[in-house]
Amino acid sequence: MIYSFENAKIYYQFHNGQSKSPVILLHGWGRSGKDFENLIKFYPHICFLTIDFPPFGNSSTTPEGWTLYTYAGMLISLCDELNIHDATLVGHSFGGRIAILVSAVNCTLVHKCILIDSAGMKSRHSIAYKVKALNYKARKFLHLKQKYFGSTDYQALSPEMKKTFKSVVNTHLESYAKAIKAKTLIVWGKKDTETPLYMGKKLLRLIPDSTLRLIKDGSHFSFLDCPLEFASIFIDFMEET
Amino acid sequence: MDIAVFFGGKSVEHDISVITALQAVKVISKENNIIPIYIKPDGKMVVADNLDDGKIYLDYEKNVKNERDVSLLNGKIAIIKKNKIKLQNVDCALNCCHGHGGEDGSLQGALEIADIPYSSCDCPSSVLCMDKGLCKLLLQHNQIPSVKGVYFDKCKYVQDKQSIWNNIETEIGMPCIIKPATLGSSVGIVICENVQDLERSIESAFEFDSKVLVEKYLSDAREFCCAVIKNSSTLIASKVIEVAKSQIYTFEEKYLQNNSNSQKKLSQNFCKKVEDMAKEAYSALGCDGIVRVDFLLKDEKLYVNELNSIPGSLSFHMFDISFGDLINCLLREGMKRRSERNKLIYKFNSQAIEKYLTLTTNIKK
Repeated sequence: MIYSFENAKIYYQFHNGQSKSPVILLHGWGRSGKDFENLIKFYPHICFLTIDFPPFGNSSTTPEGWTLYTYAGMLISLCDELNIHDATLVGHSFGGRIAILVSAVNCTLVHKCILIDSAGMKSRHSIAYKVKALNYKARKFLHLKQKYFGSTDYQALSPEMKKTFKSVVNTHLESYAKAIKAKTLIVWGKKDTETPLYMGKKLLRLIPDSTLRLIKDGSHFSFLDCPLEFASIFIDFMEET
Repeated sequence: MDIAVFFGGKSVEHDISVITALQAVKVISKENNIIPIYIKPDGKMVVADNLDDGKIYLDYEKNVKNERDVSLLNGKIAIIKKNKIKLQNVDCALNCCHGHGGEDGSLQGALEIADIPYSSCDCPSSVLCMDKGLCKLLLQHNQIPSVKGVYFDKCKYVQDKQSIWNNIETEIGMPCIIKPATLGSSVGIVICENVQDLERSIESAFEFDSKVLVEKYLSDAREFCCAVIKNSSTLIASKVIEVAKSQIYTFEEKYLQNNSNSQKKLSQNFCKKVEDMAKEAYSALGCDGIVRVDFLLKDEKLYVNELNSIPGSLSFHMFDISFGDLINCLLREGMKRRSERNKLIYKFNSQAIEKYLTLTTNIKK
C-alpha cells in the first residue's frame, strides 16, 4: 500500500494480518523491508508492519530536502493515519535513528523499542580518520581536487540525496536517547565494524529502561547473520511484561 | 564453551554421521573448545588428536593418532589412557549420530544420567521417532494422517504367522512395503507384490530388526519433506522440498546423488498445509531441536511417512539460515531444556524410611 507524505510516495505493508499495535520494522540505509522476511516468517502469530523509506525498496521517489526529522515525522503521521498505538518499533542502523527519535517524542505510540546495531551515536574517530578529515579540509582550502572522500554509502547517492544523507549522519541523538520512556532492547553484533559495540554500550547507559544483548557471530547485520539467535532474543523480549 | 560432538555409532548410518559431524565441526565458531567424540562401529567411545580430519576415516585404525577411551561422568567426560584419568568439562553435547545407538534414545539416556545437556530430541521422543510402528500409533492417536499399517514383533510372529498374514491381507492388501521398525535410511526395506512373497520378505526384515512394520505401498506416490526447528518455544518450518525418486530410495539415492532435490514450484497453499502438518507431528511426538518430517502424497491425500530426529547434515540446506546459526540454536535449546528440567522438583520428603524402621524394630521386640 502507498502513503503520500510531502510529495514522496511511501510503500508500507502489513504482514500476518492487520493490527492496531503491530511490530513496526524500520530498515537500514540503502536496504528495504525485505531484510526482515525471515523474522516475519518465523512468527506467524505476530503482526508486523514494514515500511520502505524513500528512495529505497518500493518507495522509489527521491525525497527532496528531507532530514532525519522528516523521516520521523512521516512515520508518526503514517501511524496516526492507521490509528496505531502501543506499537513495538524495531530499528536497524538508520532505522534505529528513527526509532530513537520517535520513541523519545511520542510515548503513546511506542510501547517497546528494539534497536539493532543502531546508528545515531557520535563516533569516536580513529587517528587515521582525523588525518583524512584534516587532509580533506586542507585540500578544500587550497581548491585542490577532491577524489577519495566519503563512504561508499555516500558515493552511491544522487546529489539531492547527498544533502539528505549529510543531514542524517550529522544528527546526533544522545539527548533524545535519554528521553526514551519505553522499555528498550539493544541488540548488537559483536563483530560490528560500521557501528562498533561502544555505541551500543553508550545507548545502554543513556536509555533508562534498557538491556543489551550481544550476538557473538554478528556483524553490522547481526539479525541477518544469525536469524535464529536474533529471533529467540526478539521473542523473549516480546513476551516479557 | 566446551562442546562435545558425538558421531559415528554402531549403526548402518555410521558414514553419514561422520559426514554430518565433519560439516558441523567446521562451522562451530572457533572461540569454543570443540571435543569430537567418535563412537566406533563396535560401540566404543573414543577421542583422538585428528578426528576432525575426514581423510582418516578411509582407513581409521591405521591413520588415527593418540586414541583414548572416553566415559561420561557428572557434567564431564573422563578421558582414560593407560589407567590415568583426565577430566574434561563439557557444557553441551551436539549429537550428530544417525540410527542405532545415537538417534534411538540410548545416547540421550546416557547423557541424561551424566547430566550433560544435549542437542535435538530428548530420550522418550527419540524412541518414538525411531520406531516407525510407535510413531504411527501416536500419529493416528492425534488424528494426523498416516498410511495404514500392521506392527508386530518377532515373538508374536513366530507364535502365529498365519493370523498375521491374514491380517496384512485384509487390513492392507497387496502390494505392501515391509520395514524393519527401527532402522533408518531405507535399510532392509522390501516391497512385496504378492502374498507368496510375504513370508520371505518378512523373514528378511527380521534379520535387521526384531520389530517389523508392514504398510500399504503407495505406488507412484510423490515424496516431500519439511524440517521443523524449535527456537525459544516457537516452531519454525523450513521450505518444503519434493524429492525425486525411483521406486523407493535406496541408500545410495538418498545420500550420494546430488540430483535428489529437484525443486519444482509448489503452490503456496500446499506448502502451508505441509508445514502445518509437520509442526503438528513435531509437537505430537514431543520433539526438540531439528526434525525432518517426510510426507507421501497420493491421490491428493497427504500422509506423514516418518520423522527423523537427527536428519542427515541436520537438514541445514532446507533452511535459509547459516549452518552455524542453526547449530548455535540447537545447543542453546539443549541447555535451556536442561536448566528448565533442573527447576522441576525431584526431592520429596516422605517419612517412609522412618516408618519402616520403627515398624521393623517393633516387630523384633
